[in-house]
Amino acid sequence: MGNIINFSSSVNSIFDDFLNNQLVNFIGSDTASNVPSANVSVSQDDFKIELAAPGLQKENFNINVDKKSLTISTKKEKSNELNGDKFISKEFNYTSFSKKFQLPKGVEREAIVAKYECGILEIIIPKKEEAKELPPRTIQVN
Amino acid sequence: MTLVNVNPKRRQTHSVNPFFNLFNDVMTYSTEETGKKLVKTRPEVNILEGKEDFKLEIAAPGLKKSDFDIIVKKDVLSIVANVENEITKDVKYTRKEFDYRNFKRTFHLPKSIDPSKIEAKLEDGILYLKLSKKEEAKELPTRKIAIG
Repeated sequence: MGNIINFSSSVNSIFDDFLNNQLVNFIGSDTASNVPSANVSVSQDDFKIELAAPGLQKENFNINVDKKSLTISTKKEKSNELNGDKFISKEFNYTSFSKKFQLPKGVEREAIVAKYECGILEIIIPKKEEAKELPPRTIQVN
Repeated sequence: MTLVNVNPKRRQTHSVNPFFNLFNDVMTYSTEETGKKLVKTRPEVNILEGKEDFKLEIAAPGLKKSDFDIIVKKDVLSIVANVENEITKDVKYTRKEFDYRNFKRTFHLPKSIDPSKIEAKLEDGILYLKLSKKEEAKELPTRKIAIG
């Protein structure tokens, strides 16, 4: 059973580490995180992606599933009027991003569901019946 | 004497931006290393300044109102979250990039703030704090003095 792999993981992790640990130290607060972090977990019945993308509405998300991958992207109109406020420090800005995940084999692509709650986008990807791990069974000898 | 945990690298950062010293982050829980991957445990914060107030936006997705403690002691503002770890059976993380259930971020308040006028609200995973400036610190409109 394959795991859900973040397609651009190598690129992302270079970027993440670079932005978060190095650039910020050099340049200061002008570089803000703009690709949300994700947790991926697996249980007996499904895979779950949790994307930490606070400050959005569910209408802002686009989730596209193709043969092998799932892409989450956002496009938020700049509704946050600054009203003359100035940024003193900016560490995050999740209004526009795209993150792609590779789907493992044996998932029900038609049955994927998503919800947005407390700033976390949760996507449940059910496994196909035949891909589920069955509990061990004992066969009796008659 | 007070014991203050300051990451020298971060302090360097702030010297680039003079305004940041207003709200110096004196103590933070940094990202903890789990295996090779870094898990983000320290929420990101945006700070804005307006004519009448400062605004803090703390990105702490997945938390409820009751999970936060916001404490003002003298000129130090602390935002703390302490959520008990749920034991979830049969769930295995194959990728873990964030966990904001336990953190503390501390800020020095600038003198221009009235500590009794701080408001907080939680919306879509962002904790918004509004810190009003003291009357005398508010930016007054430009005035022209006529020669009598």
